[in-house]
Amino acid sequence: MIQKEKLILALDSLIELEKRLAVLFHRDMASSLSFGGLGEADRRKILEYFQARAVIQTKHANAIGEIKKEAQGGRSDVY
Amino acid sequence: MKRRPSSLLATVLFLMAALVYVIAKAGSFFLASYRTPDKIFSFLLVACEVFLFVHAFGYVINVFRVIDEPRADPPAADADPLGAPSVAVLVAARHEPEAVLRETFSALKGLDYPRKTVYFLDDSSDEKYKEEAERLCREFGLVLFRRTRPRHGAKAGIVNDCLETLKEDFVAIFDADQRPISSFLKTLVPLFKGADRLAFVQTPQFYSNLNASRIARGAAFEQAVFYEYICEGKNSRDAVFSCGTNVIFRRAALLEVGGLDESTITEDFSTSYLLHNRGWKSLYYAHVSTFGLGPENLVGFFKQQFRWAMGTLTVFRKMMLDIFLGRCRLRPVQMWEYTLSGSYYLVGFVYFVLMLCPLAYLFFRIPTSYLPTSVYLFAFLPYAIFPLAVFYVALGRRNYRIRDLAVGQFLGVVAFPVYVRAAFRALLGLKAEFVVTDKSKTAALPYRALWPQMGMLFLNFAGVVWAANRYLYERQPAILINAFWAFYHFLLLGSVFYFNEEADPGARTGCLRPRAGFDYKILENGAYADLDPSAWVTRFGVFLSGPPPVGALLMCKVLLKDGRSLVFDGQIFSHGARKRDGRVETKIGVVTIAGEERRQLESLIEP
Repeated sequence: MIQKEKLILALDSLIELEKRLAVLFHRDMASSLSFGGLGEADRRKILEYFQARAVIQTKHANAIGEIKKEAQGGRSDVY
Repeated sequence: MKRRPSSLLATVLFLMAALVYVIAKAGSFFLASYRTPDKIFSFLLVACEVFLFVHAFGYVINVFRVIDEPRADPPAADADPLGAPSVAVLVAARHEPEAVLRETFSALKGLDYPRKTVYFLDDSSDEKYKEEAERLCREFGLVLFRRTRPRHGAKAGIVNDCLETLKEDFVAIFDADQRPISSFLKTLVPLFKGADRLAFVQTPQFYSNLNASRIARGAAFEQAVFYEYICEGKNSRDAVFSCGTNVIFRRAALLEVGGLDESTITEDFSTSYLLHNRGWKSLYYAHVSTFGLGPENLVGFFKQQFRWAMGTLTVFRKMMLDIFLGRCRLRPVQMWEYTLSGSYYLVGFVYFVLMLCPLAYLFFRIPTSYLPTSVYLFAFLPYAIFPLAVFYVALGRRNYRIRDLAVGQFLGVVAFPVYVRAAFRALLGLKAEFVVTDKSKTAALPYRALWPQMGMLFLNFAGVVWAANRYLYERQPAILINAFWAFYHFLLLGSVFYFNEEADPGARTGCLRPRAGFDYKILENGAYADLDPSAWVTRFGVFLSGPPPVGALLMCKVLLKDGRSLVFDGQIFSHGARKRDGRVETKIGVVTIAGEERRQLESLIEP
């Protein structure tokens, strides 16, 4: 069980993680591919994978945002 | 540890090759009957070659030591986070761009560790930056710390002031542009468990903006060389030093030596020396756990190198004095490693003398080597080729390409006047101000500011031309050898034209042509229900004046040259800040999947 206030804080952290950190991490990982000894085709494939992941994470952030809205508007204080 | 015969054999071979050369050179120096000016140049050359031999030998034995001791896998994260010790995470900054701080704070907020407190040590004097710091600390839930006493000791000073107020067991320190991965503390703090005399754990720096400019790329690979075999080799001798960021200190250890050393501009190196001198241990964790930004232009690179060079040489001078006065308590192997690190930046003098010697011979007939040409080639080639081969093969085993490594080496040579200036100041005991490495300026340097490099470049070119003239009349092989070196130095210094460019964070992404206007609005909901990753290929960059909505889905509108507009969905995949005409601009990288629009958009993107 978790109190409403704490739940909203946790959801905020999750949104931050999904929206900002994931994108930052993808960018950093993409730059590190230069060190991996990978061929151009493999690098491109991984970059595309990162980009697809970024889109999925944005969807996650939006979904979590919806949950947060519900929690903020809900009467219950314990979930 | 059982040493493999191949490693031993290789080390012995290198020693033999080096000794043959150095003995031949030194012998000819003492035996030859030449004039005093000739002897002076020859002595300088021998001294430089001894310096190179010592450092090459140090590198080679570290490489073989590391090859013989395979890297351990990263330790598993602590299974008992409830029993985890407390950690204060410190980030010190002075007038850093907001976009850079936002990224760092995001990463720090995402650190997965139960007992951490993040402190932002704001050293700004400008009201604008102070307000910015307060706003960001509120937004990210950080503790804002400001000096309570008059300003002293730059970054080390504010960290020490903060240290007095802390209660946590450990102190993690990051530069304002370094972003640790979420498992940083969870993985590294347990390394202190059961190691009561372990003072700090250092992790590598990794420049993730390596594609932003040629300088950034060169600096990234120059760094990589240091963090690969060199740090690992030092670690095996308990002589790895702190690099000031991406590091966790035991607070008790720091307090025992009076905090970070404020007497030098490389407080990290100096504090490490003080800790080792008191019998504390260090550990190098050889896995990239933090992503950061490196300098993107020559100004930033030169400032960074000047600070490192002057700081380490100052500590080196102090260490030599300690040895002389019997105050140095380091073990001999630690002393050897500190000597290598502390004296490395004398390499500026070495480059300078090596460039001067062929010119002295070609223009003034001052011989710097008294060896007959055949003996010179026989003794020199194995000695020169062996460490180079070890360097490229060892790093090749870790997937580094020769071209990238060479770019890093060229960049080091181009910085030789900076090293010379830093060495003079350090050895004469002159003070230098702490300068923050500049990541935002992107302008190229005017060539008159690069007069030492340009002057040597011209002299080497003139030397090659003059050598051709002399060889026509004199037909001496020594002229050809010296001409070869002059030409080699000409090529190395010529790389200044390659590096001194206007940095563009989107150089490898492609930018919208200036005539194409760009507009966007943030979409409320995800719009990619049926995403095909393979179609997600159009990438371009654009500069905006405001902070970037990172990760957001965008409704983008590009104005075409014929007056029509193109609307498509995009998503930001990267962003970075730069300063232009006093304003901070944010460059965002956008990707789009839109079908027909994508093809139209591609026609607007400059490769």
